[in-house]
Amino acid sequence: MLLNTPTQLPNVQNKILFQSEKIYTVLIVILLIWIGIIIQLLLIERKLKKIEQKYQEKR
Amino acid sequence: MLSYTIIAGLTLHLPQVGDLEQTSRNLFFHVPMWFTMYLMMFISVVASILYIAKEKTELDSWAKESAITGIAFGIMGLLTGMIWSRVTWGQLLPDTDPAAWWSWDPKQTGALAAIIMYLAYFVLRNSIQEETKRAKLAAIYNIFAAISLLPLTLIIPRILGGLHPGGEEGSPVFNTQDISAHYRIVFYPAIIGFMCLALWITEIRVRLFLIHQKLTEQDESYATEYSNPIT
Repeated sequence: MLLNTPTQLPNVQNKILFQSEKIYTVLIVILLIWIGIIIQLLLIERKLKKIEQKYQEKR
Repeated sequence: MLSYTIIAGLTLHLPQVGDLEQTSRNLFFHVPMWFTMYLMMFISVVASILYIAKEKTELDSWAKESAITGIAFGIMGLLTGMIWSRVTWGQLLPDTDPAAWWSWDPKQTGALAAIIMYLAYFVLRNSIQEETKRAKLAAIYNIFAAISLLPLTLIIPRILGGLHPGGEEGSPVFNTQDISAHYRIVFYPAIIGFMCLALWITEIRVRLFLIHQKLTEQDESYATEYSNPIT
């Protein structure tokens, strides 16, 4: 009976993160980093916009 | 360097490590996040110490902006680590089990505590209106936060061990026995690349802050000049 006990959940291999030797996990990790960098760029953009507005007001 | 990291990191033929399969490539993306965070927090605390000595606004700005970038990279490190741990430490658990995503490993928990501590730095900054007082108190807090960062993320996890490599056996990053040359040719450029990116982002933020401050100062001096009839 012990020999027949599964060591993994049966549906685990079907999940995206576990497909193709788990390469999608690496892609998701890279995507997360991209999103993080883009958020930082957007924050810089917002800061720059504020300065531009201030400059326009002065003129 | 970052383009090389992404291309080589995804395509290079790498020797398999245990049951990590292709996820061993995450070494090039997840680990540099922490190295970058350490660098930014180091710059932040050096700027804070210099601010206490010299009281220059630019130094306070470097301390603040470096901490912001450091936190951003720290959060990316936490998120990428969660995804990686899902398919390694938590692979036998269902998605609905929180332990599949978060293992309360000493290094993981310490990193979370460190990030919360740095978020409190911004709560402190936002709670004080007076500029000089705010900068001074924030600088002092920043020194304590930086001192706490080392035991939280390096010393305690090494004493307690845990799921992360680099527990009792020492650092796997600088130990030549643990990382093969195949990994090193991507891993080290990845660290340098992400660090340069973070430095660049911080420098732009500091420059923007200083321009904004100059414009505000000009506005204030203009307002003072025309609101006082004697002068």
